[in-house]
Amino acid sequence: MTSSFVTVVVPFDDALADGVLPLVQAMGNPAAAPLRCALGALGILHFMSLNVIRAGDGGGDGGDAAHLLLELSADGPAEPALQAVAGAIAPELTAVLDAAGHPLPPSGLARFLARYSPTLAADWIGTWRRGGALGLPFCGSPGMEVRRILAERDLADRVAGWYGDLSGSGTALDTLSGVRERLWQSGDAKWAFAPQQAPFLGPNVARTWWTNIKIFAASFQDLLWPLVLPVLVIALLFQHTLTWRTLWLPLVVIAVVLIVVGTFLFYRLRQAEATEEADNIAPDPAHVAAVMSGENFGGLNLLVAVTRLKPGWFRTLTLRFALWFTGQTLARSGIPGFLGDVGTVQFARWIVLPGTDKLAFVSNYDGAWESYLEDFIQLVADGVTAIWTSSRGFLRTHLLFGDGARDGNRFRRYVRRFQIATGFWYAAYPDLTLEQMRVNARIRLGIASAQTEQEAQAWLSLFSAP
Amino acid sequence: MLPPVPATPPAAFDPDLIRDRSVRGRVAQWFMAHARWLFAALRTFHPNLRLGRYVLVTRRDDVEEVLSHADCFHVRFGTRLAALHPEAPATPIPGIGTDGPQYPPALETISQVVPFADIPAVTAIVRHFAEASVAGRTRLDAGALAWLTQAELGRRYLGLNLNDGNLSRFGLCCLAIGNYIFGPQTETSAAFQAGRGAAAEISGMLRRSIAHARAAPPSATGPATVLGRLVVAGLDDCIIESTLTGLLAALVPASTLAVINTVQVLLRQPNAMAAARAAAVAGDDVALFRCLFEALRFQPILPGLFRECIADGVIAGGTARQRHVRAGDVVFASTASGMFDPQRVAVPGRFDPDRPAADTMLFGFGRHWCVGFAVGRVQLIETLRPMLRRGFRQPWADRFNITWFGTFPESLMVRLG
Repeated sequence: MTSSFVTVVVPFDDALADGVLPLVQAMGNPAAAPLRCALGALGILHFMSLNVIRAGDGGGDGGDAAHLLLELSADGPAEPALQAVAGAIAPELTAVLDAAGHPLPPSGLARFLARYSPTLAADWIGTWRRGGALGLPFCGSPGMEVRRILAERDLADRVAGWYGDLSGSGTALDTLSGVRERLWQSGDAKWAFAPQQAPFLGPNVARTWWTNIKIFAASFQDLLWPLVLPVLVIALLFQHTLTWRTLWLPLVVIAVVLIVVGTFLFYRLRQAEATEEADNIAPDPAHVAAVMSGENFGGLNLLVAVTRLKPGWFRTLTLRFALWFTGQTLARSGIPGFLGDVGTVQFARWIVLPGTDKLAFVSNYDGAWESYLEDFIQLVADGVTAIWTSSRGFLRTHLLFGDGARDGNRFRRYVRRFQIATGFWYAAYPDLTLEQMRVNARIRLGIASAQTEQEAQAWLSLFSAP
Repeated sequence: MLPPVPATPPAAFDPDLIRDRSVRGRVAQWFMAHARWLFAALRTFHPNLRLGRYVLVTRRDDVEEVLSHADCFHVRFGTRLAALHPEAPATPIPGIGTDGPQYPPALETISQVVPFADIPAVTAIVRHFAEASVAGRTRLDAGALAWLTQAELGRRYLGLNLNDGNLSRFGLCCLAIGNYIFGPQTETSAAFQAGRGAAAEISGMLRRSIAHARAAPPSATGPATVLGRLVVAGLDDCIIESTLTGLLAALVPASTLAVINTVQVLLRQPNAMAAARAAAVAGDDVALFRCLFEALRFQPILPGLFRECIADGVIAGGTARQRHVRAGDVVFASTASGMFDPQRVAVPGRFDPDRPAADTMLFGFGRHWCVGFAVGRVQLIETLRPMLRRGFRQPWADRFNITWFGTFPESLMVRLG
């Protein structure tokens, strides 16, 4: 089952933000117990956060509206997920919206939230159509439902508890057989014997020339068609003059158009990179302290960073390209659920808040902020640079992907400066990292399908020594 | 206690009702064996096809979704089994093949009475019968070997008392029941008539067996048969009978079809035959099972599983192939198609014994994943091992000499090496 990324962006008067913020914070980071129970009972929600983005966040001058940013990652389609969440915590959400100048009856809550919930896309049609917004979602545990994740975690804990009883009783296969016997006799774990695919255990698909060709071909469908379409229309109008021998003409025209436009954009990019200002401003210590006070309650954390796009059409275009290219690369190569070589991002999304020039990055990730940023700097600096270089004050880059985030100290300062303190955050499994999730999935697969001594030994090695 | 056995069953079991040697039947069976090309087209152009109140689901993601969501899609086996027992409508098969609250306790009961510790005994029964059936022959009816071996296993492992010793009649009864409950037939079809008659005939035998088991003195080492364990567990006769019927319906017909379909794939694919034969000769059970299991993927025992919608819902919500379903609709989740979905299975058309076990859906998927998988594994390996050791092929003349018993090949002649 695919996961849905619901992002609700509700504008409101910035003057009301001081009243809204305490209500959001009262919901808890981590989520207050009643909310945690209500949302956990849904059984479909991986993560949810609610934050207030002030008009001045991202380096704005304070003249814009403030926004409520609600993001949730759930199993199944977006609409039922939103309805379920709206039903589970309606009093809290309506109170927040009421304070933000959007009084609502609880019955109209889901419809209201759906109205402000854009679909993230990076192609022209996806963002131009009603309800679309420029953005990119990412899921680190594709195909894994909340119930399965929790069940496999409990299974791994259960089996680990037997480790002392069973190890040393013969071969690894004997130990595995003992585990199977116990599980089977318990009568409630038949599901564990069914081998089930876990996409994030899949093979690493190498990026080849063929991958690049497929990405290039996809670019015509998603991005380049406005350049190609006029030529094709003209060719159709003059089709009576086209023969097999003159068919090359429109193709040559298309190629020339692409080369001319490409050359123009290339020089425009070089010019922008040479002239744009890069900030090197240290973040306010009080701001950093406020942000850090909301981190490290468990094994997972939330990062919300809001920046403002550089003025003009060009940087919006490079952002669109960077988001689209990142999405295509992730979809066509690498290991499913890995952001390049980074396997610690659970659910993340980039979104340009509709009607504004603000770019929000929301990420539910494993481990501490420092290690997460280090992963960005060391492993996926290309993508991060290409996306964030469209934001004001970002580090100087070279040909879109170069430099930028590789300057680790300045990049950390940049992110801290534009990160906002978390208001409300719910995680269905706040201590379960993706690495442990992958181990749990392997434990379950081993129980279901390991048959040889070698496979049983590999399975046993998944448990750390007691 | 049990309701009285009806003096006259609704209809005496008549195997000829569903025996089929017609050209139409053979064409239909050929089509079923090669349906994956149709599924490939559907996956590409119409993944969730609606035909009246039937919805045909072909993408792996959607098949998994349907089979995982028991809150919306309910199995029909239980109600079909119950339909074969109109004389005991208040006590349908308890929990087996249903999605109600009875299912978890029923599953627990099955786990207790069919433990893993039985596997060596099951292996011995199947191995002995299959080896004896193959020994000394140059021509073999692989179809008969398949269903007679499984019937023998059902008789001995469950602990049934066939007074007349007519194993073939007992086996055909089991196939007739399986033919009805796993197929799309309605309650007015010949399949239902045959299944109903077979269930009545088996019911009498089961009641005799239960009485016999109750009268038997307790064993110091505990009961060795499933029936003995059910009796010791203190279950009511009616529940024991319905549980045994459910086990028989799974044990005999499903494995018969698994064995015979595997034989047909091996005959069609020389590389699969060579790999399976090499593993059998080498005595490598793991490799043999992987070969046979992979071969079965090309012609699974069922093209898919039926589910009944109990509430309005949506399949593949939020995608371009989204399909709304209404309460009362019947969804056919094609596991056969799901195993060949290139978006989820690497190079699905290639015979690859080392394929990840999670790629296949031969034991189903989700909540009702086959509870008898460990026994089924043994049935497949041990029934085919003696044939594979000898090597077998199908002479041209015998390719047209197949008798179908409903959806089961009753007779399939091969020549042993």
